[in-house]
Amino acid sequence: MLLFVKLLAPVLAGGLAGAVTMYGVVSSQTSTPDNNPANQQILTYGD
Amino acid sequence: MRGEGRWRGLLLDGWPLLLAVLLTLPLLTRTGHPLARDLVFVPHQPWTDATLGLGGSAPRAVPLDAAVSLLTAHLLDGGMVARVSIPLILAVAGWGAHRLVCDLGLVARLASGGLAVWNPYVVERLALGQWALLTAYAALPWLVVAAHRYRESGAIRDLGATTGWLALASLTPTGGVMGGVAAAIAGFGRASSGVRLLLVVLALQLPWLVLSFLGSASLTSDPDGVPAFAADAEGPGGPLTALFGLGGVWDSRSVPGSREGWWTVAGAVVAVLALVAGWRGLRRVWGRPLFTRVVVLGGLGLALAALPVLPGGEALLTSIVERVPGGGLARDSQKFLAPYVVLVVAALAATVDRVAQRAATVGPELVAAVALVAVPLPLLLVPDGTSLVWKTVDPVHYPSGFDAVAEVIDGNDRTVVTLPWRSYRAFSWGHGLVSSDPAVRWFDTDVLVSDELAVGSRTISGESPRAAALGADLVRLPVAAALRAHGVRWALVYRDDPDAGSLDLDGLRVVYEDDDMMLLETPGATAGPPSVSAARRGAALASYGVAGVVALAGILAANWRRRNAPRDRATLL
Repeated sequence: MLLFVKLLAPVLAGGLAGAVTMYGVVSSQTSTPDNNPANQQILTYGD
Repeated sequence: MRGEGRWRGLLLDGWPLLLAVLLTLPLLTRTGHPLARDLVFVPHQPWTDATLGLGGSAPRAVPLDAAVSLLTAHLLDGGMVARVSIPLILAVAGWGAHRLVCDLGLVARLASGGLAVWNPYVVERLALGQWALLTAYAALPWLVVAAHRYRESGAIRDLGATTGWLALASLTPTGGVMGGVAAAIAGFGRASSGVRLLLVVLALQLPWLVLSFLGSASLTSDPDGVPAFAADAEGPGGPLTALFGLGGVWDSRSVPGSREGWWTVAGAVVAVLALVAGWRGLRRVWGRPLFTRVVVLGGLGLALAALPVLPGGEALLTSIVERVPGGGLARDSQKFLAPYVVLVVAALAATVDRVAQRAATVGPELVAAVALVAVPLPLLLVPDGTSLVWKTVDPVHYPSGFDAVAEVIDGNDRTVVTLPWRSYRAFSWGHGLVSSDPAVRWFDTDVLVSDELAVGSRTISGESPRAAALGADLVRLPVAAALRAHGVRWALVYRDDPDAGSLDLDGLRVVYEDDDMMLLETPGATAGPPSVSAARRGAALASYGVAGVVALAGILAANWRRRNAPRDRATLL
C-alpha cells in the first residue's frame, strides 16, 4: 500500500495525464478530413 | 512564511498567465495585426460616427469601438493593444477564478485558475474571434465578489469595485447585460444600496441603450438567426451534453477536433461530477447567500444557453428576437453560458480540494498525485485547444493598398462601399479564415458594408435599412447606377474575392489599383452620407460621458482606501 501511494500513484497519474494529452493532441491534428478543405473557399460567417 | 506566500501567489497567478500566453502564442510571437473571424484590429482605428455607434449598423460594438479608437487613433498601434489585451483578459479570468475560491487549498485554486482560462467556452469563442465577450466573462468572478461585498457592507469602495468590473464587462451590449444581471443577483440586498447598484448598472448601459433607440438600424432582428445561432451538438449526446461540458457554440468551424467525439461526453461528465461533489464544499466556503446567488446565476446562464434546443424554446426566442426591441442580443444564446462556466470552475476547485484533503490524510505524495491530475485537467479536457485558436489569433500583414486608399478617401465626408457585396471575406493575403471587413475600422469616412450574415445555407438579414436597400439595388442594377442612386462616391473592390471578376464596373473611374484592391469613383455621386443631427450626436456623447464618469468614479472609489480585510486567506496544502 505504502509503495503504491508513495511511488506508483504519482507515476501512474502523471503517465495517464501525459498519455491522454498526447493522444488527444496527435489524434486531433492527424485525422483525415472527409473533404479536402482547399477545394472550396469558405465565405460564410460560420456553419 | 512571507516567502512561501509570495511563491504561492506567483504560482497561482503564473499558471493562468502561462495558459493564456500558450493559447495566444502566435499573436505574441509574430508581427502584424489579428484579422480572422470577429477578431479585427487595424493599426489605427479613427474616431468616427460609426465608432461612436452613430453609423447605420446595430450598435453591437458599443462602446468597444470607441474604447479601441481612443487607444489606437493617435496613441498606440492596434496590434500592440491586441497583444496586451487578449492574453491579459484570459489571465484575468483565471486570476478572478482562483480568488473566487480563495478559502480553498493551493491545488484546488490552481485547478480553478487553469480551467477558467482553458475550457471549451473560452477556446470556442476565441476561435470565433469574440475577445470582447471574453472580457465580460473574465470580469464575472471579480464582479460577483465585489457585488457580494457591497451587499454585505454597503460601502462605497465596494460599490466602486463593482462599478469598475461592470464597466469592463459592459464593453459590449451582451457583456453589459450579462454583467448587469450578475451584479444585480450577487449584490442586490438592502433597498437603499440596491437602488445605488441599479443606477450604476443602468448608467453603464446607457451608450448602447441610447444608440439603439436613436439609431437608424432596426431594433428587432431577423428571426432566422435563432436556429442559425442555437447551441449545437459537438459529438454524441446532443447540444445539452455539449452545454453541460462548457461548449456548444453554434459554429462547427470553431469546435476543436477533440470535442467532436466521445471526449465531449467525458467533459460533460467531469463538469456534472464537479458540481455534485463540490456542492457542499462551495456552500461551506462561500456561505449560503453567495452560494445561492452564484448557483442561480449559473443556472440562468445554462437555461438561456439551452433555451433554443429545449421544447418550445426556439419559438419563444424567435418571438423575442422578432418583437422585443434589442431581443436580437439573445439569438446567440450560448454566449450566456459564461456564468455557468464560472460556477463549474468553482465547483471543480471545491471537488479537487475535497479529494486533496482526503489524500493529505494518507501522505503528501498522494496530494502530489492529485495535483498531477487536477492542475493540468483543463489541458486534458481540451487537449487541442490551440488548434483553432492559433489560426484565429495569428496576425496578418495588411497590404499597403489600405493606406494608399485612405490617402484618397479619408476626411472628405463621402461614402465608400466595399465590393463584392458581402459582410465576411477571405483575403488571399490572410490565413484563409473569413473575417469581418477591416475597411470599416480603417477609414476616416463613412464605410457602408453588407450586414447580412451567411451561416451555413441560411442568410440572416442585417438591421441596417440603408445597407439592405443598397444590397438589393446592387443585385438589380449595374454597380455604377446602384452607387449613384444611393449617393455613394467610392467603391473599394477586393480583387482577390472570387466574385470580383463578375462585377460590372462600367461607368466607374479607377482612382487607385494594385494586385489586392481597386478604388473607383462614381461620377455624379455628390451626396454625402446621411447627416447626424446635433441632438443625436449630443445624446450619444452625453451617454458616453455619463457611463465614463460613473466608471471612472467607481475605479477611484475602489482604490481610494485599501481594504483592511485580508484578500487572500487560502490555506496551503
